[in-house]
Amino acid sequence: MDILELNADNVTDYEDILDQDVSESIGREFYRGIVAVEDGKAPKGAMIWEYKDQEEDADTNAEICFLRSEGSDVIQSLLSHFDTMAEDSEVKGVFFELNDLSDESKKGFSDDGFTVSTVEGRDLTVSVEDLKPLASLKKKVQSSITGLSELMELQFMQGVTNCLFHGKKGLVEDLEYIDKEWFDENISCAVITDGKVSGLLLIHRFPSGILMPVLLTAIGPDFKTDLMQMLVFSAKKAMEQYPGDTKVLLRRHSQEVSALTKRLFAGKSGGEVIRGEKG
Amino acid sequence: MMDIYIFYIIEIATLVIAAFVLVAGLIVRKGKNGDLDRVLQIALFVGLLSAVSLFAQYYANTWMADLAVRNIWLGAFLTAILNCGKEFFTLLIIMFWNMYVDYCTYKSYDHVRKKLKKSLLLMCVVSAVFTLIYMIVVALPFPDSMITGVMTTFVIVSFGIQLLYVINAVGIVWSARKMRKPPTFLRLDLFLIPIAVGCIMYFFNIILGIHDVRNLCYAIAVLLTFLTLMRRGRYVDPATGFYNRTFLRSMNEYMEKNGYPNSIGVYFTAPGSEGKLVPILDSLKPSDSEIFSLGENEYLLMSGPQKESVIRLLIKTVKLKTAQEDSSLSVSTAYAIRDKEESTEAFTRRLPFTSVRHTGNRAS
Repeated sequence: MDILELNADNVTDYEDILDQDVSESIGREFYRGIVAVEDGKAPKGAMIWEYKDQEEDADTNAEICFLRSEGSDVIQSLLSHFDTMAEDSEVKGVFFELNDLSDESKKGFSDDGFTVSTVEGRDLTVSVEDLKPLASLKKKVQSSITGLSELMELQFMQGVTNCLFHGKKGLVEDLEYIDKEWFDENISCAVITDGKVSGLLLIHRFPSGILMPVLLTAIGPDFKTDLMQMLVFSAKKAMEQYPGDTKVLLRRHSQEVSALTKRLFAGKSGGEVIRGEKG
Repeated sequence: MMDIYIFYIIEIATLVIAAFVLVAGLIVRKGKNGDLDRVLQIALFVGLLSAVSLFAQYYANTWMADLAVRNIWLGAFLTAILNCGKEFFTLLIIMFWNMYVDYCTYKSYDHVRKKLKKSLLLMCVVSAVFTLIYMIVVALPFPDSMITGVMTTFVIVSFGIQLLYVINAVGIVWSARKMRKPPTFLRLDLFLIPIAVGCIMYFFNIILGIHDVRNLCYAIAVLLTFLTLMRRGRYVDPATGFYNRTFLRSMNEYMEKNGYPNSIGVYFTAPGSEGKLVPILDSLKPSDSEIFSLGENEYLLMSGPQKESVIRLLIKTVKLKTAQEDSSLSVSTAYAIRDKEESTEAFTRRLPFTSVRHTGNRAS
């Protein structure tokens, strides 16, 4: 069995086995993927992961975002290849949260040294319809909030630089490498203070149509007001642009986000997922 | 009679100090200068407060009674304006001092503007209400104790509002201590101590009848604030408004006390640009960084720890904007990242860029 590395050129060859929402990330700075193929036949399995904090002073970690395999030998090969690549990249810890994992895959992870458990997932899925109470919090959004589509490329770069200098990258490890167009410009927005972008709410629209806020940050003395204003702005725009049943994926990656989602979507909880960690 | 002379001496001294700060401030002011502008506004209000006090005294002694006899409502209106006007200017002084503290801490015009709008509305409404009540009480045949009562209530309400603004200003400075901030050259004590002395003297003025020196205390507070702000001038390049080499040299000492960022240095130069890079750098400066002017068309941006890719993005943004503004300009850049084991002193010595890689030469 051969293990091939995925890249922006060959990823479309394996779209049958890959999840389109995950595979679109192949080619990004910190995403890696491998596929198991047998004598040029259809692929038997695939795995995609993202390196975290790779260019920073902190330890590098990896998050496995996708795994699909046919048979225990396939998962073994994939994990073994992943371990080698992770070691080369000086990865200290590995983590995953996957919701459609077969028993075979679970066993494969356990055999590879992962601690595997079933927990409530960090992702909370709501619909655009659920954003209605948030959108109606403010009748009018303050004029300092600007849609991403109205922001010039240079302003966007300045805003991203500002956030990154402040240590804010949200869920986007490679924020400094990503183009403005990657975000949904219709519903993402920014705060302009003193002529500079001082806050960003960036939302990505996956190929499947799912919306996912990936960065919410504001800098300056009015940051609390600005954050709320941006949320209201984007909620209003999402309701204008998309049908009510459009899914919105909220990743509760920090205590602040968990607290915010608890406040905005009381009673909602994440689905059950398989969580694993090693290192 | 002696009392009147002492009153005139105190008020004229107040006027002179306020005028000195205003004139000196206008002389040293170059371009947009948010913190100095706030201090000058305070000086203006101190001057106006003193002028109103002097005029009220003069007015009371000469034609006030005359006018009140001829036109009761006009007399009452002017009396109310003069008495309540003093309290209004006092409110403005504390409010603008709060804005000064806020601006020194966050350097945000938009934030101060928003706050000012709300505060000014509050001050105007409170003052207008009391002026109206005072006018009615003066014009109609109410007992004198009623007039005193209205004025005392206004003074207490005004004092309460002032106290809230003082507490808010202290809170701003307190919460900003958690952040990495460049030096603000802000001394709360130099403003608050004279004001507190003025208030104590005012208390003795009420119970013992000694002179009210609050206006003079405001003037001293604004003068001390102005002089502290002037210290900043030693560390700032007047042509660009950025910190100068003197500050760079003394930065290590400052850093030890305040945890000021000194982990990366990005150097920009555009020979022959005649300062055109200044507004570009200013508009792209991340909020958690500071820019130093090293010489003619040479600048250094310093900040806390950053990834190389983020530094490269900053450089790319500066070059793109420069090319957009003036395609004939050539920008050279270089950057240095402090090593984990390197002391802040060693890193500063390594600047500006004797041993770092140079990136790109042309704005593109």
